[in-house]
Formats: sequence, C-alpha cells, structure tokens
Amino acid sequence: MSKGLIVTDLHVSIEDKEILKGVTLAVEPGKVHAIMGPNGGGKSTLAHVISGRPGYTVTGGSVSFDGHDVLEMEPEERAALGLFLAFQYPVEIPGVTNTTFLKTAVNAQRKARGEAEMDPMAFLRLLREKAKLLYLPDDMLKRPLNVGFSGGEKKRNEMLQMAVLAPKLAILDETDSGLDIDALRIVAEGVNAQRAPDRSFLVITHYQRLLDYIVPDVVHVLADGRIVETGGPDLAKQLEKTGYAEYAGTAA
Amino acid sequence: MNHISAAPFLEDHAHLAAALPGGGPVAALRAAAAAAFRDQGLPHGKVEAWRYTRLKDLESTSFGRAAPAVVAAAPRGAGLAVEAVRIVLVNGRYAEHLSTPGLPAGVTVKSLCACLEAGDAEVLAALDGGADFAQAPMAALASAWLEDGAVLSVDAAVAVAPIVEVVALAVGDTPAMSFPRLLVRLGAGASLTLVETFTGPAEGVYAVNAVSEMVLGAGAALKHYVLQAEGKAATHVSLGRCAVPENGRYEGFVLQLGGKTARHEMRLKMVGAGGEAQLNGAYGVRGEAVCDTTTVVDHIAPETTTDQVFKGILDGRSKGVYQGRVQVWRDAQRIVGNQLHKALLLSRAAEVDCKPELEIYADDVKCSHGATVGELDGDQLFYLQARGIDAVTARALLMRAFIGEVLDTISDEAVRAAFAARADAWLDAEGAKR
Ligand SMILES: Nc1ncnc2c1ncn2[C@@H]1O[C@H](COP(=O)(O)OP(=O)(O)OP(=O)(O)O)[C@@H](O)[C@H]1O
Ligand SMILES: [Mg+2]
Repeated sequence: MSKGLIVTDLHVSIEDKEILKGVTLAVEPGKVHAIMGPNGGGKSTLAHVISGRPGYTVTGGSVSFDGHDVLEMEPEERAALGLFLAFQYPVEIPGVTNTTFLKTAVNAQRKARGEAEMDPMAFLRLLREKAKLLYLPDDMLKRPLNVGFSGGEKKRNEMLQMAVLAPKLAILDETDSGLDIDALRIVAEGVNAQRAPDRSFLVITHYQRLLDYIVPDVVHVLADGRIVETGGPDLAKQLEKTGYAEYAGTAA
Repeated sequence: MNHISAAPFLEDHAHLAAALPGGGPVAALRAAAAAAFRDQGLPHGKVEAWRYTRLKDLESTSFGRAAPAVVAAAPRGAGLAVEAVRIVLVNGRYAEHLSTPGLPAGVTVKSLCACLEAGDAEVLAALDGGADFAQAPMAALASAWLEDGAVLSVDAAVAVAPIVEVVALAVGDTPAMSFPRLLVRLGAGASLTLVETFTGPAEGVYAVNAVSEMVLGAGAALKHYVLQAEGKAATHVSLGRCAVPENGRYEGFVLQLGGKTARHEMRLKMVGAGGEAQLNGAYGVRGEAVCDTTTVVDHIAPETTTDQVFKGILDGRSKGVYQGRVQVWRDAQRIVGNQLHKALLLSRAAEVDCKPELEIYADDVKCSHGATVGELDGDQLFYLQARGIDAVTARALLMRAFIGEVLDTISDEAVRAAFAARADAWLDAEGAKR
C-alpha cells in the first residue's frame, strides 16, 4: 500500500470545459509541497476534486490516498481518512455555532473510524487550547460558523479546524491571502507546529512570503491545467522575480 | 365552483341543537352561526382568504360531529414535554379528570358547557369576537354546534408562574369533526404563558375545527404558543383571535408539524396605543400534505407594533401557504408592522404560496414584508461534508439551523426547548427516510 497522496494523470472538466489536463503529483507523508501558478490555472479545482466537491467530472486519471481510491468516496469518507481542505473561500453557516459544528465533525470522523465519541469536556479543552494558539478569542467559538467573521478570521478559523481535526494531509488553498502580517506568522507557526512525520501538506499560495515561514520540500507550478515545473524551495524565489511569463506559452 | 353545500355539516341542526346546553341567547347564537355557514358553504378557492387551501376531505367525506368520549388517561406524549398546569379537552369537551387538579392563585378554569348552562353573559359576549361569521365560515360552523370547551380566567395583576397547557385531544375511529373551544381572559396587568397543543390518532381520518379567543385587559401580557401536532390523515382548521389593548403584550408562536390539510389562522387587533405583538412560527410539511398559516393583523390604535416571522420546510409534493394581511386604520399613526416568510424546499415538486397583503390608510407608518424561497445550499453542504459530517446529518444540521433561527425567538425557555425537540423529531423522520 503506497502511503500519502498520489495524483496520476488527472483530467477534470466542468461542463465540458477541460480544466485539469493531466496532473501528476505525489506527496509523501511528512512532506510539504507548495503549488503556485497563475490565476485560473486550476489550483482550487485540484484541491476540490481531491476533497470530493460535486460539480466536477473526472474524465481520466486517478487520485489515491494511503492506497485508497478516493475518487470513489464521499467527501465525508475522505475526511475520515484524514484529508482536510482549508477553503480559499470559507462558507458561512448561520444558525450553527462554531463549537457545535466542530464537535459534530470530530465525532462524525471518530464514528466513521470506529472510535468512541470524544468526551465533551475534553473536546472543549482541546478546542480552547487550539484557539488560543491561533489567538482566536473564545467568543468566536460561540458565534455562528464564519458568519460576520473578517476575511482573516475566517482563514484562522480554517486553521483552528485543521488543528482540532488533526488530518493526515492538509490542503491549504490560499490560506495566506487576506491575512495581515501578524496573522500570517500566526498561521504559519500553526502549520509548522503541526508538521509531523505522518502528516503532509499541500500549500497553494501566490506568495513567496508564506514559504519563508513554511519551508516546502517541493514546489510545483500549475498553469493551464498542467504541472509545468517542479523544483525545490528556490523555485518559489525565482518565480517571485520572473513571474509566470515563461509558462504563458503553455496556456494557449 | 361557487358554493360547496354546508348541508352535510348541519344535518338536522334545528333539532339536534335544541338538546345542547344553554338558554335562549346561546340558541340564538347557534342559529345565527348556522345560517351564516349555510349561506357561505364550505370555504373554497373562490373565497380570497381560502384561495390556496381546499378542505378536500371535508368536501368528499361525510364528517359527523365527534361524539363525547371517555378516556381513562391521556396518551403518552399528547402534551408538551414541559412542567405545566394541563387542561384537557377530549373531542372538544372539557375532561376534568384528565386536567391538573388545583390551580395557581388567581386562576380559574371552568367548562364552557357549565358557563353556557349558567347563562354567563360575559362569556357568551366574549365568544366569537362580535360574531363576524361572514369573515370566518369555519368558526361559524363551530359556533353552530357550540357545546363545550374551556374558559380560563386570570385575575387582574396576577402573574401566573406555571405554564398553562390546553391539550385538544381527538379520539375515535370514524371520520368525525370536533370543535375545541377556548376562551382566555386576562385581567388588567395579568400575565400568562399559554400553550395550545392539538393532537389525535396518528393514522386515523378525523377533523378538528378549533376556535380560541383571547381577551386581554389593559397592560396584560400573553405568551401564546400553539403546537399543531395532528395525525397525518387529519384535517385541522383553527382560528385564534386576540385584541391587544393599551400597553398590552402578545407573543405568539405557531409550530405546525401535522395533518394532511392544516390551516391555522391568527387574527390580532391592535386596539390600544403602546400595544406590541410578535407573531412568529414554523412549519414542516411533507408527502401530499398542505399546511396553511394565515394571519390578519389590524392596527387600529396608533403607536402599535407588530412583527411576524414564519419559516417553513417543505418536502415531497407538499404545499405550504402563508397569507399575511396587515391593515392599518386611518388613525393608526406611527405604527410598525413587519412580516417575513422564508421557505426551504427539499423537493422540486413542493409548492409554496405566499401572499402578503398590506392595506394602509394612515400616512405615518413603517411597514415591510419579505419572502424568500430557497433550497439547501450546496456550498454549505459540501463544507460540512468536507469536515467529515455525513450528508444526512449535514442536511439535518442545516435544516435545524434554518428553523432554529425562528424557534430562538420563543422567549419561554422550556417551551422553546420542547418545540425544538418536536421540530427535531420531524426532521429526524426526514433524515431517516433518505
Ligand atoms: N463552476 C465553474 N464553472 C465554470 N468554470 C469554472 C468553474 N470553476 C472553475 N472554473 C474555471 O476553471 C479554471 C480554474 O479555476 P481554479 O479556481 O481552479 O483556478 P485557481 O488556479 O485556483 O485560480 P486562483 O489563483 O485565481 O485561485 C478557471 O478558468 C475558472 O474560471
Ligand atoms: Mg484558487
């Protein structure tokens, strides 16, 4: 059984328009991969397809995680396997408090894995401890999920969910966008604190700055539905200077 | 179809009504009511106030008057799961042995039958809010057979601590119509939390035609919570009326979860300056059922405020109706009247009819109405699923959130929790089905 995330020649369309045109990528446990690339290149599409968002048609290729064919699974089953997506645009859900939501999610995942429900007091302790690390005030835990949260608060709330759910693979879709300098550091520290030999990250970002804090093992460039370049941390630094002009030809 | 004959419901009326309790004035009221119902016939689509809801079972099946029934004990779960003083009506008749013995100081409960027999003119005058039978055909039918019910009175300045629940229980296994009748009188400055619960056989065909009258003294405050939990083959028609006096407070909530054809109508008259009313509600309807909530709010006095929020969840081929009429009389300046209806459709085959009506004859008013119809949000569902919450639970969570927003406006904590539990049970049946 091959560990980690393996994406092989993935082709994805939305309403007959091909968005991903053969993406191949492997993220081993414990590694941090970054994906950069121009707007509209397909980064969020890749993240959504891996996590099971409806509305995409996979026309070819495969995605496996720890040996499971995830494309055959419901989003909640993928989550129970340990996949986590920090949304580029977190969704507001009025009438469901942050705490209720997270407690339901934690227990749903535990149930799916055949584990007992978490003790409510232990859950609250865990929640408060993680919220504190992200400098999220307690009252945000009682508020309806993401409702009225500022852009930066929503992103930090995604990180709180990640910290509490402790996934095996976290995909961060532009979690750094919209964060002020301090929040960026807090989020990056949060991610670094979670780095572990059995946990990997796929960090989608437009900015080298985040990668100064979360130093990746591998950097990919995704443009026009394809991985057009793969390299080490230096690749991100080079892109900062040259932009994506070099890959523009492939976008035709 | 301009007239659906009233005859089957008034068969042998003159003769049978003669055996009912009370003297000449009561008999005159019955006769006037019967004549009004005979004139109008059964309500139908050509009648504006009944445009969306046809009482199909009443048109096709002959419903006799529900007979008196002796019930040894109220079935489990008939009442609301709250600590309460209970008044039980079985097939519309006051059942003293099922009702809570001993009442809080300042509270009296009598059977309406006894009041009619004693010739209580005050009670008789309070019934039927001036007998506007021309505007209330089904209430006219109920008064044509006026026989029994409960009369609940609270002395002036008494704040009743316990919740008082009136359970209208329908029993029997033949299609029959009962007429639960309630008269509530609050003295000046009194306050009461009242629950009206309607329930009956889960599967049996029966009809309920209820009328509740609430009379408030100056500055009185009434919390009036209605739970319509009839069986799934029932026809339920109820009319509530309340005049909110000077500085009076009315907080109403109507939760409708049962019935095959159900209509609850609430009429509020804001008759005194400084009166405030909130009238909210929620409903769940599925299968082929029809659920109608109709409100008529009259701002008669200046400086009165009314606020209405209703939310419905519809599934299957069901139909939800909300008709909200707000009338502002010429002298009713500086009033506020808001209403909002939001429906959540779980099925494309379900139907919502929403009819707000504003009639304003004063010039210094703040009135608004809004209506939305939506489906469960796919982005919200995916967000929950992506965190590991299965689709059924995620849907239930979103539906609970939708309904929860309006349930949260119930100020009595115990009733709020009990109503939420009833709504949850309805939603769980929803999830289990999928
Ligand atoms: N629901 C949709 N319907 C039609 N086209 C879509 C839809 N979702 C995405 N696309 C298109 O797919 C392409 C890839 O979009 P995607 O969001 O994956 O890009 P991205 O790399 O994440 O961009 P950004 O850096 O701006 O976030 C874009 O051209 C976009 O317009
Ligand atoms: Mg994107």
